[in-house]
Amino acid sequence: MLNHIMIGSGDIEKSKSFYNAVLGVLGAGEPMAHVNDTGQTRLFYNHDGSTFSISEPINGEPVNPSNGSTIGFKCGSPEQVVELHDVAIANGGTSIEDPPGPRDGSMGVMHLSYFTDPDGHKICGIHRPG
Amino acid sequence: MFSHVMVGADDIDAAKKFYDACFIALGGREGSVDPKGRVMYIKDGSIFIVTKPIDGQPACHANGGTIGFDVDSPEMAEAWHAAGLANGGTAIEDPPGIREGAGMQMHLAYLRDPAGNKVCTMKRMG
Repeated sequence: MLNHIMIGSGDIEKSKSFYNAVLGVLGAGEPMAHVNDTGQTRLFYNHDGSTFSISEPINGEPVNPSNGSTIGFKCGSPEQVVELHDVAIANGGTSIEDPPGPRDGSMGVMHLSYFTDPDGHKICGIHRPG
Repeated sequence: MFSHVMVGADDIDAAKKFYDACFIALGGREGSVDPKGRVMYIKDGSIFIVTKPIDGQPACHANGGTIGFDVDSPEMAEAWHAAGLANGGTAIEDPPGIREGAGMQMHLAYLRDPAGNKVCTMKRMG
């Protein structure tokens, strides 16, 4: 269902360094960089059939994270959920919500970790057992 | 790569009306409301959720952010766009159609949802 998700970046090199480390945990490679017709640099991480992309805002206004939004990345194990979080924190992310671990959700036990990226976007790692 | 994506909305009923129509146009179903009042759409192994912000502050859309949905065909994209427009969405950017970008041809259609979140459909052509 999700073809791609794009987020805004105020510092594309900082975002690249952050997401190379974080998405590297999931096995994603280096992003493809592209400068669009209006001069904004974008990074495209193609991995596992979908695309995560980071862009300088095309309207020239500052980036602002959405309140209420989260992007959840699939992790292969509870350990990877923790690793995703720890690598994010080591590369300029900020830990938020409860510490990484299992939680009871509306769809059973899930392993979750939450952090914000250097621009303040809320990201989580998630593993659903079984 | 994505398990889920969640977007914020202050008016959940308006968001549900919009996304119900949009997901039905994509061959999905109406959203279900969970005990926390969040609307969930499950399709093709991933989840799209609309929620009121848990911090009690107003929802706001991201500047620079877009969520792109898969479509099977340009016709499905146009049906999605029309359904969204008829249910509280706003047309943005160029009208639905084929564009060249990053060395490939894509069919794209863009909307803002009633809360201002930017969403699109994308189909790679050829």
